[in-house]
Amino acid sequence: MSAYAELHCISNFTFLRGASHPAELVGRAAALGYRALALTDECSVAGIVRAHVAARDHALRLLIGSEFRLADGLCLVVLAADREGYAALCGLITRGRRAAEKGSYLVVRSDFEQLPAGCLVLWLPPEFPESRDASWLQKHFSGRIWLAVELHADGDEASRRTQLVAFAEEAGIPPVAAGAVHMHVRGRRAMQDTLTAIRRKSPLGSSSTGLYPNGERHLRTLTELQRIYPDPLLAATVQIAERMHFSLDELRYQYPRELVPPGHTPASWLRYRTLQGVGERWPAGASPDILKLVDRELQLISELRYEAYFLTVDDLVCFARSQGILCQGRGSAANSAVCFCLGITEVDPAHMSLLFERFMSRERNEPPDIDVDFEHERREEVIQYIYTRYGRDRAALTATVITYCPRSALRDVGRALGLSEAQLSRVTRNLHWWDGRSVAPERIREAGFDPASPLMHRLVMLVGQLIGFPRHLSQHVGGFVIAEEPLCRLVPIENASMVDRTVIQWDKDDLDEMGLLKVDVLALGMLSAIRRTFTLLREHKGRELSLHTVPAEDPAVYAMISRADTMGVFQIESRAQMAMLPRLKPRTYYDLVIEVAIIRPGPIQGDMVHPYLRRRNGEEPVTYPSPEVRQVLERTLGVPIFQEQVMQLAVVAAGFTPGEADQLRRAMAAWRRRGGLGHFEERLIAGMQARNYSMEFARQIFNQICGFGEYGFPESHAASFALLVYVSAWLKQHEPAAFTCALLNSQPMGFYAPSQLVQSARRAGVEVRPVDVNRSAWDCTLEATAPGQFALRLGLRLVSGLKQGAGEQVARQRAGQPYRTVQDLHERTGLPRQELGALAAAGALVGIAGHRHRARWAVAGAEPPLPLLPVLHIAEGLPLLRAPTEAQDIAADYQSLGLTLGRHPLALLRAHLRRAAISSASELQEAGNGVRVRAAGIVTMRQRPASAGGVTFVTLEDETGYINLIVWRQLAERQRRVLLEARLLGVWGQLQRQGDVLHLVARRLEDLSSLLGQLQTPSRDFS
Amino acid sequence: MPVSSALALAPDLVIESRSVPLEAIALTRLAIWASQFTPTVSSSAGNALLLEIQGSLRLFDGFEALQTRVAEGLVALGHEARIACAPTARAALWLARASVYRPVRTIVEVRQALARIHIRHLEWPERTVQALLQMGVTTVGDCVRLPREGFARRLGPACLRQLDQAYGRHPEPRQLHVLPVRFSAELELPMETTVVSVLLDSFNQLFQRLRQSLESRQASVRSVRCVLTHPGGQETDLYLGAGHAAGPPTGTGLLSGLLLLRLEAMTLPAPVTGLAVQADLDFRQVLAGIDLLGKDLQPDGGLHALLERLRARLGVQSVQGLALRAEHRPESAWRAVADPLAASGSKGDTSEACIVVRSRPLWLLPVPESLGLINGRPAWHGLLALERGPERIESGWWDGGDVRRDYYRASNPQGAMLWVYTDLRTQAWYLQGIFG
Repeated sequence: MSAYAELHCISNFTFLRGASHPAELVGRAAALGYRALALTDECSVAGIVRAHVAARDHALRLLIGSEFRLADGLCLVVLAADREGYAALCGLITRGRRAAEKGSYLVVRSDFEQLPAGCLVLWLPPEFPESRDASWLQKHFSGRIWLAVELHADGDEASRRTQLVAFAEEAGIPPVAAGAVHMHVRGRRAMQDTLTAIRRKSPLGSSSTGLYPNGERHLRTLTELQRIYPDPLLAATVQIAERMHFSLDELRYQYPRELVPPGHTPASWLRYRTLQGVGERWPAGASPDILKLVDRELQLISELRYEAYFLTVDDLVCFARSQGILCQGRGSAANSAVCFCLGITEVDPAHMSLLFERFMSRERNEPPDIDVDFEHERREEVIQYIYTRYGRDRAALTATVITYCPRSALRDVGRALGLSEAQLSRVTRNLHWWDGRSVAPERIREAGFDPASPLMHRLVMLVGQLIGFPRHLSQHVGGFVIAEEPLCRLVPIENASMVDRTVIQWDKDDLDEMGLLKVDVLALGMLSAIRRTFTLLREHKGRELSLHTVPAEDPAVYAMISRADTMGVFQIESRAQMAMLPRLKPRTYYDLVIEVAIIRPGPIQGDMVHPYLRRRNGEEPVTYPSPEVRQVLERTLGVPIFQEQVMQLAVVAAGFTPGEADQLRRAMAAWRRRGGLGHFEERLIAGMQARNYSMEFARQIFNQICGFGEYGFPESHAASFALLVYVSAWLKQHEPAAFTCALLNSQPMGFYAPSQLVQSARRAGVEVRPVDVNRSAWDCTLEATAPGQFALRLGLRLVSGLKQGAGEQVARQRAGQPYRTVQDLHERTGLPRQELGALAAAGALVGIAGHRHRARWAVAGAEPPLPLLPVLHIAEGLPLLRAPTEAQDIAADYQSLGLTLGRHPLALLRAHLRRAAISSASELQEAGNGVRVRAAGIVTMRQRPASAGGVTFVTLEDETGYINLIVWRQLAERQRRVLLEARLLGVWGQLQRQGDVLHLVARRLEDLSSLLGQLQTPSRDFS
Repeated sequence: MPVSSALALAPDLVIESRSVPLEAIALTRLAIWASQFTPTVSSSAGNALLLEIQGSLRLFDGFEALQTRVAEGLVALGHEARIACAPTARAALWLARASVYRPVRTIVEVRQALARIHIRHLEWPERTVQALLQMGVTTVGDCVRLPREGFARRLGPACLRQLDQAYGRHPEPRQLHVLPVRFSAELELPMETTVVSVLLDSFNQLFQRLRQSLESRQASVRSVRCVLTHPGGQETDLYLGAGHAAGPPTGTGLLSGLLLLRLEAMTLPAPVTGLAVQADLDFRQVLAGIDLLGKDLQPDGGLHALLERLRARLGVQSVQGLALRAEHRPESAWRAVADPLAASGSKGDTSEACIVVRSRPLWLLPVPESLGLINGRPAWHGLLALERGPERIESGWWDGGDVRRDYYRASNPQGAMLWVYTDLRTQAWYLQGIFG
């Protein structure tokens, strides 16, 4: 039987054409006994790393190429035979992609003429190939051009074959068999038709335009191929495959070199920089322990040749510091002594007893991972610095592969199957933000369709297949790849949807696999807020603070945290964290590290929270199955909480090598999506039993690993976050006015809306003053009330509908001379009426125009100043306008500012609510455990964490405080609409009290929103 | 509100699309109907009719009686109406929109009645309404309390003028409805008859008058109603040219021919005593040549005329056209269309069909015929020789009619060229078509 290599095959990375994942194609080709498989996605190599990994597992030779449709209609496949050929292919794709809008490409013949000898070319001929084209191809690719004979049972196969072979002979271009493969098996025919219909936006059945007549474009068996193609055509495929020597394993990545000054090696320069840092961190001289640690780390870094990586991050951090941009590193290597010395992190390794080698090991030959968080509003400056420093051809953002989720898959498949928009709305409406990753038949039934009907059967089947298909490439939040040589020799670069952004065609898993350096340049709102607070304190109090000079381990701060009075504090402000704090009662920095990591889906699902709490409170003895395990788990009282601990357990208890443990980590990250923990399970349990651990313990560890899944939180990240937790808590405790001011100026961020933050500040005794055109700046500001005492003045930024430029203009033109009338304001600022209207709506004109109705009348009558004539001040009669009622003012406050400084809306309704026997939040605080009550409040947040087994947490707010509501899954499904739509929610429920933590378990919900009238109350919903 | 949100609120909602043109037609019909009460009828905003009734009160026995007649008449026509009455048209309109039904007879009463009306009922632009609400102005009364110049400057002179019109301080000219022009002619026959030629001759006299009428007014007709009156007042209606509005205006010579075909095809229920011809004149399309009476129209018109004739003779349902569809399954690759001329004129989806039309027989069997086998090989009047193929068609899963077939061109011993296939699921053989 003849051997065969498929040279023309596209995967679903040719979006909306290919109907199989790269790994499926590789697996099938291997099973069929193909000699090799070329993955030739259209102007893309986005799928090749996945194919490469699969090919390694299946021991199949993977060839790399790409299909192109030239602007003049010519179709070619370019295959990379060697490293130069691959670089040229990447360059060609980059050129084509950069020349067109995101998602498309443009290539012309001249782009191909310079391709080096390492590029082999297949010509995909049209129905009637022209000798003109043949001679152009001959001229430029002599000896490496073939004519692809692709036969798909179209009725005239024999004559087509004869025609092409004759043409090939005449043109002197050897013919070769190829499959134009779009799917790995014939069974994907329906999927392929569906993708075509989605692509052409024309439903199936209305027209089959563009559909293939049959499913022949799959990986066919060798027997079939032999029936279709004469032997020489098949043999040619193998000959071509044998000319291709390139494998992705050859890619050698070079770190950028310019970070090292002349006369230094990367190692000597990193040592120099680190020792500089030692001098700054320990002016009195570091202890011998520290010096030994630094030395050992540097040695390891040198051994693994990662100096350039640390220097790259050092360079970014130095730049940020020079610009006054607050930043902090986290991640596996960030909490090393070296990074502390370089100033990449402020977490003192002496506090942490973390061993660097835990995070970077000799066996795992992979780059260390450092994420750097920057102030969210100034990250762009850092990004632009990277582009300037390394050039756009050497630095680019990582891609994120956007895949089909249930909602988008349902929409697209539904449309392809001809469902009307109304029907689609019915189906997708039921997939609220809280549904999982697949489409359950119940959803279909709820939408009023019969899941057993053939149409719905097709829909569910196709949607199931489509979920997880890549849909397009988007940009990663901040993962930068920086290289010494032009990046486009490694991987193509294409346009992102954001102007002036480019992304490479690989995502972060691909980069991990290829060992490419990636620095995550991330944005963190809390850093902006902290830096702003520092600035306010410097300006108003003359006090200089920085992340590491905030007084450490302040008992008052821990007391506040233990009361769960943490609204606005980094990380620990969420509902779940707040419920945990009074139980955990953090007393030290390391407690915060644990607090940050323990309220995560991983530990919650792995059932680690309660054992830890019990052990911490002395309700359960702290035991360890062995001294080795004790070493790993001692700092968390024998309960694995951090991702690193799970890895270490696999090593010490089950005999994994560190490299294997790392594979386990990746498998964990992906198993929810792809499955595949099976063989780890066997190895883990067998390994632990061999080391005399009980089956029970082994199973428990494995279950914890599954629970951790992709949500396990590394200690290395928690350590850096905990520092920000502490600093923000300290600021909230000691400088609430400045801290709230900074938080408001850094919105949007965090869990809470300005309304809650302002209420929290007022409860802490901060005086908050309203928005006023004669007082407010764009940002919120501090106004001195007494020496050292400050009130918070709300800024114009809170006014909805007011642009920043307009707000700043108001503050600038005021310049010490208050506005007298609206006309005066209009003339001096030149603001259009619409923005004046926004100010009127916010109540910011009260001082110059009276109540809101008068302000509106004045704004509507403001006459624009004429360029030449003096403004005619029209004298007109005073209008008879009613003053707004309190309720109207409150509603207007909410609508414009999202908050009110007046009474809480529920205070107005209280009498009415009391008649309905509805208790307030403060009354609930007095009631006992298990009491049945009726309560109501404005919904400020709905949260349905994936880890909570279908429980929805709702926060209700009234004029006396907050009510934490728990809605079980059953009730949520029964009263879904009320739960999701009510702005004012009434509840019949039962109180549940655990120590200081009070929850109301809902039994029945009631939508009372109509009582609110026009009041706009936004809820923040999280899934 | 998007449809999806509406469905979220009311899952059993039935969604129908709104047709503004149909609403306009309905309102026009009502205007014509209402002209029995007063000659001055006008419409407003596409959903209101204004009847000036001062001059009709005596004729209809006063306001209450008139209002009752209008209301009952509308109910009989299947409409619901909100009716209000006021001395000014604008005030009546606003009161009706605000559902204030109590008649208002004097300007003083107008002032009181309007004062309480919410400004949302005035159908002012949304921006104006919002601006007023933001000033705390909610009723017409609030509006008129504001300083006039200030009001006009902020909200525009148009709103102020409307207020003045409502209060009778400013006249309000309105455009009146004009009734349509209709041709109608009758003829009483000297004696009862059922003879087609007599009827046709008589109709031709009426058609002649229609022709003159059309010529003098430079108008055309799209359809003509021919009425045959029987003893006892029964009527038989024949519509000519109706239902195919796409065709060119029908000439009266053509009418005669069409009528003949229709008369020949039908059985009269009773002898005929009288005839009538009615037609709405169409002024939009004036014919280039006035040659309506029997001479050849343009070639295209000839085709239309042929279709009219065929439809008149065979029935509308029996005349259909064929059009290609982009579809791989042969049985679905064509479809019947109502108007063959329209179908052939527009290329439709066949223009960009990627389906290369391979050799297909013109004659497809309505249902594929199962073929017998001889020694396991297909046969149709003798063993078949497969000459070309296979052409594999796997398609149509989306409508439940998924096929998986290999097609061949085959010949039998008699030399017939056949199009046959084997079903890849059952391995059975079928004849799909015959090459001519």
